[in-house]
Amino acid sequence: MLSKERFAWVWLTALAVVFALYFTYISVNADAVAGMHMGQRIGLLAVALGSLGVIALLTTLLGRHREEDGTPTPIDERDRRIEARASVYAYYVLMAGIILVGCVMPFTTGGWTIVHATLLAIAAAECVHATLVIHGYRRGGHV
Amino acid sequence: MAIVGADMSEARVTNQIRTLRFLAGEMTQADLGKRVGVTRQTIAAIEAGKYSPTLECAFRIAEVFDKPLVEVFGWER
Repeated sequence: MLSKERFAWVWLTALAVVFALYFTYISVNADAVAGMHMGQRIGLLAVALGSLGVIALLTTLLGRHREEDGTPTPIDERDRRIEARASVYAYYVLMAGIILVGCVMPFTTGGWTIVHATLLAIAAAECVHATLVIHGYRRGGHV
Repeated sequence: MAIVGADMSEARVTNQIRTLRFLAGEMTQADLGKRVGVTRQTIAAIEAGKYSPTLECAFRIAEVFDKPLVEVFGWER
């Protein structure tokens, strides 16, 4: 398995686990979370996003594939094509989420609901990106 | 002349890379990839017909085997 595909798998899993834990926690403890100070709530969010950052960093550092002569595996035309295709669809998902969060939700709700909807939009776009990268490497890279 | 809108869903790019590698002294996919400038996995995907290379990459592969493009790649309906 290529390091890029392996990274996509780890990233997809990490997104699912971290956001599932975060949203489950704030749903189950809704009253307690609502009573938290702003700093505590931001801290809770920072822990979730920070753990994602650490996972991404460790996966990148540990999963770097190198050639026999020690040079990093080059990115070629197939990698670029898979990345471009995944990015296009992830962009559409992100745009749909941003329109919902920025143009619709301010008229119906506010505060942390918008923050969480924004996070979900970003997570959904990242999940689509990672899924299409995996799909691209599995199928071979046809557009 | 190309027919715009023609159904090309059944058509696919074929190749003789595996045979040509064999004839070139069992050249490995990694060796070919290095000479062409792509990864071994990309050569494997091209060989298996899972990925259609760019025209530039196709020409580079043909150049490695010192063959014209049409002897390396084909178009099958």
